[in-house]
Amino acid sequence: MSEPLLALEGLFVDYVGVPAVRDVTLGVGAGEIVGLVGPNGAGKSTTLLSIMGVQRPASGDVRLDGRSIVGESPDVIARRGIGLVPEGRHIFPEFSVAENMKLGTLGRPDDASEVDIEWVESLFPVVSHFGSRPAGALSGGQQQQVAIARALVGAPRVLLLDEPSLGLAPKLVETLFETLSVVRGRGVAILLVEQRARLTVSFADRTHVMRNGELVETLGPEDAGDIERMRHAYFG
Amino acid sequence: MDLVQTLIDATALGVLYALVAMGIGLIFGVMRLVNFAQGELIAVGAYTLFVTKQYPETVRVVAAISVVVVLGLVMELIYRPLRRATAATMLVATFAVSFLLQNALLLIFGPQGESIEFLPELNQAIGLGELRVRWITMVSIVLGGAILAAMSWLLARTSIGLQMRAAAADFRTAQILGVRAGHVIRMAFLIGGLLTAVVSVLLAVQRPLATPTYGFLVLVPALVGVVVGGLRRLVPATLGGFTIGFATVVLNDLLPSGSRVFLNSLLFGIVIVVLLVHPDGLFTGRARVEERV
Amino acid sequence: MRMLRRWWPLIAPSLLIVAISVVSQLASAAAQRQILSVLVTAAIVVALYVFIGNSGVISFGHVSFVAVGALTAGLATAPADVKPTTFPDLLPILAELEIGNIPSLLLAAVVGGLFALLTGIPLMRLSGLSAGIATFAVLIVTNNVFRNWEAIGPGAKTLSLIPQTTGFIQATIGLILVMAIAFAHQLSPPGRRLRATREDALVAGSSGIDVHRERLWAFTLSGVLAGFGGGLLVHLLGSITTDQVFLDLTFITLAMLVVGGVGSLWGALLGALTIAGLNSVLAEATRGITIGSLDLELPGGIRLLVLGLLMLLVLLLKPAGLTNSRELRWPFR
Repeated sequence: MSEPLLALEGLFVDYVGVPAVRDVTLGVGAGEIVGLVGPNGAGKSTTLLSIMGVQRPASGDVRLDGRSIVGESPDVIARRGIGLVPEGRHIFPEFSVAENMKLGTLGRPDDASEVDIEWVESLFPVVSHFGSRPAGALSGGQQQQVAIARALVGAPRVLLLDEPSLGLAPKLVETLFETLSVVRGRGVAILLVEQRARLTVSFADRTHVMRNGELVETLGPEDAGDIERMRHAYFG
Repeated sequence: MDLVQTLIDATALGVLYALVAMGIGLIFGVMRLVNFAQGELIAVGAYTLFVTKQYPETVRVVAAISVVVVLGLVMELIYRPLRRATAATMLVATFAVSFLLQNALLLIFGPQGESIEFLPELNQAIGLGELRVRWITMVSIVLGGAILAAMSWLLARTSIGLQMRAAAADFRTAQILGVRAGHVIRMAFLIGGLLTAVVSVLLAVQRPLATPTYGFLVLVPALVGVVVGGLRRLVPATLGGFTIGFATVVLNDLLPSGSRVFLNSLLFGIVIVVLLVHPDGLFTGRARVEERV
Repeated sequence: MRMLRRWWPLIAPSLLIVAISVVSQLASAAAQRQILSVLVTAAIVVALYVFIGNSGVISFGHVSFVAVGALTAGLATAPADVKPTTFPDLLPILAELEIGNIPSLLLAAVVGGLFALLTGIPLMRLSGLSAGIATFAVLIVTNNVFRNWEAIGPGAKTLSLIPQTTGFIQATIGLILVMAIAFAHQLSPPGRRLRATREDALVAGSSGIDVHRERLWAFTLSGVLAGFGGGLLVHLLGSITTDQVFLDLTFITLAMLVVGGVGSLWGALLGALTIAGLNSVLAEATRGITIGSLDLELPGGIRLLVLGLLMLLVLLLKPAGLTNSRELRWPFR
């Protein structure tokens, strides 16, 4: 079996001198959604940040399409084809939605064909509706859409999301996950970090559980109903 | 009318300080570094004008601007290893560069000062009704104002402007989206250099004696203005620079002549009070609401 | 034994200072003056460290405490019969005052501390660059006042005829005393609480540390020490002008601290010794010295240039300073 599009191997990452990610090995293939769940402080965000080059791993490898990207700066990694929707969204509240989107296009791979803006706008109508309004004026759910849309206009082959459902009402979360399915359908590899374990486990192709920086368990959608197994994975 | 006279002069100086403040603010925004040596760019510009005295004015201006811009880019190079350093280290490093350049100028040109003689005729005043306004004052206001407007356009409407603003607002997120850190920082130094070069040329007309501390004397109030206005955002920083320049002239004219020596005490006393009430800056719209740590 | 280990970061540098002083007795008179100036400057840098190193807040204003201390000690010991002639506008109480050496040093320390306390109460709420600028403003105002208000300051003139009581004994004891107080502070609960705020003030604040109070305490203490340093300085030079305790001294002492390593006592001391030492070597080189078989003579202005260059290089190569902000460790098991 050939290597998945995004491959993490033996990743060790320190955060403020403390090991936050320990020996993490996982892969996400094109058109797959892989979940990463676990209690607070487990190291999930750090994992995503180190893929993106924001944090340098202490050891281990991160490979995109077989090519190691460890040590590259985040903007280079963005242009290689990885998009990150960070925790808390980090949209630019004082910039207009259109300007936020324009920034997203900077992450386009240098050799990419025209970005399918129309497709992104069809998925996230808020982008065109509120184009000229300051992004900070939008509601939480709308800002979430802008954040994902912004990552998508960078034409990523791999999409990383850090707790996108945070602060969203259940109905919006449902819509969010549906949208991610559509994105998956386009062949994008998605690594989804989430707090809502049960939902993620039932939705993703497979879900890794992270505790204290280590991957302790891998669950499939069929395990979503098994509360006991989930609790065990979470709390040990 | 004395008051209008004062206001016009104050505006002219304010505009110049605003340009310096903008240069400082741009660089701080993308790099979180306060370039103490920005003042030396002004001094170098002044000395370049001095050194090219026998050439036609256009050549002198081009030379001065070129030298300043190049020096600014050299500074960018020097500061590169500092990108991850602490604020204290950055501060002292830029201070060291400033110190270094001042002493280099001292070594090359000596402490006594050199007469620049650049467009001295612009110091003549023309009468406008009851006012006597110097040509250079008008040129400063018009040219400076035009540049500030051009900068606004650049920041608001161009890609590089958007990238610089994004880097200043949230560097990490900007990088994640694809903003090239190195490119943006270089541009900030380039533009900052250009702004400072213009200030240097305009200042050379009205302060025709170049000394090694020429630039430092401008930098200090400009920097204070930036912090008082609001260091983290470009518009407040620029406004802060303008305010200090403006306030310096106004206070100087308001003070009885015997007390003028205490101008700095008054000015900086006000600065302290302003910072206590608005530690984030006067123009950032946030008074101290909660305990700032 | 454990005591030795615990206090080693103070004992070792103190021994070094004593060694330097002893060895200096063999040096020429000119070299001795240089070394004394190094010791006194080191005391000022350590005073600076007490606040900046422990709080992580940069103060540009500490030299104003040095100035206050220096002028206090100077005015208090300059002959009372001479003062009124040179400084006719001086307040009578200052003009008539004439006290001894040690009392003047104590007075300098107290006045320095009081001034620090007064300015610190409002200013310690600030952080980062706001604090830097606000303390810088204090420096400017202090200098401006002393330079122009002839009732309390020397104005543009030189205050001279101050007894030069800072010889090696006073300098050495003074410096070691300052270091001891600095070290005791950083070991003490207030000192440790303050250091906790250095990394993350928000976290420290929510764990019950009164950031403002701890900073104010360190600020005041460093003001006391800086004032004391000013007293030592003025008794070394025998005279003082407002320019000598203004921007150049501010830059030099701050640079010494950062180059040495802002977070440790050893850093403060090493930075001072290194840069001041270098400064002296360069000063000699501009007069012409022989190193081994090398005859070195540099043009005058180059000294400061080389100094600035070297400082920059150290900062670029070792951003945490020469000592990496660490103390001297007990070297044996």
